[in-house]
Amino acid sequence: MKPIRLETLSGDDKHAVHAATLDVLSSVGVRVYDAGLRDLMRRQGAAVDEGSGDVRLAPALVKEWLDLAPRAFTLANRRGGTLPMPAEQTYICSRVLLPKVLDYGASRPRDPAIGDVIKACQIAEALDDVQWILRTDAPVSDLDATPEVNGLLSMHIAMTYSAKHLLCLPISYAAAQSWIALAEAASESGDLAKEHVLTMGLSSTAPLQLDRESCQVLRLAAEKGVPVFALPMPAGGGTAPVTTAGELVILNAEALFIAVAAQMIRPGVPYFYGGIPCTFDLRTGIISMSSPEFPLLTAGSLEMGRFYGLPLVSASKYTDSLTFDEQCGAEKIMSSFASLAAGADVIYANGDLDNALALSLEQLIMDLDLVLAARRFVQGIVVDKDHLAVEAIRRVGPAGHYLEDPHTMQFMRAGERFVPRSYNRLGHRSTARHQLEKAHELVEKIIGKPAQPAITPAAAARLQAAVEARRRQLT
Amino acid sequence: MKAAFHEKILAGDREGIEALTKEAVGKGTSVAKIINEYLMPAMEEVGRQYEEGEMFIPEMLMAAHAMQAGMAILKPLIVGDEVKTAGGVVIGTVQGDLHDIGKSLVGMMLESAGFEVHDLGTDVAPARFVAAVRDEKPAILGLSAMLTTTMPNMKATIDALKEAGLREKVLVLVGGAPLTSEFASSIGADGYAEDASSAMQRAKALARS
Repeated sequence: MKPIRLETLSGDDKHAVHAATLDVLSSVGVRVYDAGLRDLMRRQGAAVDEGSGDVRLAPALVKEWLDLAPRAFTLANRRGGTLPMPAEQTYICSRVLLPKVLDYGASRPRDPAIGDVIKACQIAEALDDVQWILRTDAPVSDLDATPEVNGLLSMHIAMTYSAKHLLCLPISYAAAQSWIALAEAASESGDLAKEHVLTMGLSSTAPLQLDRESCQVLRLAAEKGVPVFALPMPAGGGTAPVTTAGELVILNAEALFIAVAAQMIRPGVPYFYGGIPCTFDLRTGIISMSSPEFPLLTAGSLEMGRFYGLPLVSASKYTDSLTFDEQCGAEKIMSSFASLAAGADVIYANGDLDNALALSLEQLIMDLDLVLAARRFVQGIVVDKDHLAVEAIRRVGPAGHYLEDPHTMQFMRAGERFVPRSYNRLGHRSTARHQLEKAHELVEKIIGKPAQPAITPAAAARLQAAVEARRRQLT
Repeated sequence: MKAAFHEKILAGDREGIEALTKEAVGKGTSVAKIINEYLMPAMEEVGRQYEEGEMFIPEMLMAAHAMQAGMAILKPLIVGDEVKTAGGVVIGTVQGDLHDIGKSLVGMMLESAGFEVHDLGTDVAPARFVAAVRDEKPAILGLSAMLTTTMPNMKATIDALKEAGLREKVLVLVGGAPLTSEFASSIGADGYAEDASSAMQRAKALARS
């Protein structure tokens, strides 16, 4: 099988982006707002300007430390399942919390409640095609607690009602500490360096900055051996050059800097290359994560990640649209296709609307169909003796049919056919439904059942104890 | 001369504005006249063109910088209350957030509209905002946040103002990509601006209120 691969950059282009990145890292550097991380990087050979906080990396230093990042490793869920990296088939990550929720039939989003996290986890658990969940740190409205405790309690819910591999984007160092404490308790061994049940994402601030909290989160995650996922978010025209190649250089520089820093903290810590290449609309000042440049830059950045041989996590399915409309579908299919065809190992942002501000349960279902359809396309055409099926063609002969032929039985569920959950393929029949309606019916079916913890009673007890201990620390 | 100022401001020509301003001062034109009849109308046209989508943000910024270049020459020459400011404004990006562009854009727009702007920069702790409000006594405090993760620090800043007994002394205007008017209301802000241009309009309205 030859998967379809998008090549937005030629071999020479990649070398040129790499050379420009090394130039930027050695001559401009990254401003690091944490003295501890600066000191650590200085001891490993980085040039540090204590006046500005700028940390510069010589090309040889980048190579030396980047070589230590593992090109293959294995993640885990909390049911004993393993997720090898690089992925044989792109893993799909489903959201379980965003700052707003858009209900079916509602025109405006509302604040999320703890029940929304449970419902999103139920959906992720019910869908075998979803292997990861992503919980962005955002407050839920019905927990009367400090922001830190509010976050802790909804983390507890997410880790109870889903046992899938967890991607977190901590709001603060305190939140990162909570994630680590809970993940240690929820894992079987308590050792997150051996049992990779959690991946921790952190953003740099373009252009070329790592704020203090992000530095602290990076240090904590890497020291614990937790896989690190870098999320540079340059906005071309504003916080990065307006040219696509120039923005790519900023993204690549920030991603490589975080990779090097992570390895300096703990050599061999798993690292995912990624990023959210936004565009700064020079007419309105709006930052878009769904412009046509987004999938182009996403593909380009993933190609750079592949150039280094690093596992790739990609944001896709963002949309600037507020609701389920043509713009939403168009933006999501472009970014999904770009991420998959550029070889992402994991793609996330299922369920997003409104520039990653609102989560829709129905959109979770529709996005899964969209990404599975795109993934099927990208898998390409398998051409071998079995798939060419000449024996079957002989058996059936002219004027027959293949419905009951052994070849059909052998292959109809073997990845040759995409079977949608929400698409309407019934034309005008009385049972036909619009996609959104079908997605809603499936949502209702899944969340209509009583929510059950996805973890063992023993794990739940350990988790509960860890939550109580952490809560005491936070109050 | 008015047409020349108009042309240079719209072209974002700093050197041209500096030369014109010096020339006007040399000819004995009053500072008030240069500001009110030459510079401000040109900036109003810049604002109009931006609103209409004819002018892009970089062009607007260059026009604002040209305006500032002229003002830098004129400010030392202002005598008494010959030129009235629209009011004082303290702005900053809230704690934990290093995003600068939106906040700076608002600052530029406000300065161009005649406000006296004190920009505290990025990653500003609530205590620094409180101190600035106490010291500068601005009419308006502008808070910016670019991340959903730092939006709660807007409320923390407003709470800190309340704790310091300063909340009633200043109008709080908030803005930033992930914000909504509902969020602004929920944290007790006095106003919400969805972009730099509306920030200027809201500030003008708040200053009049």
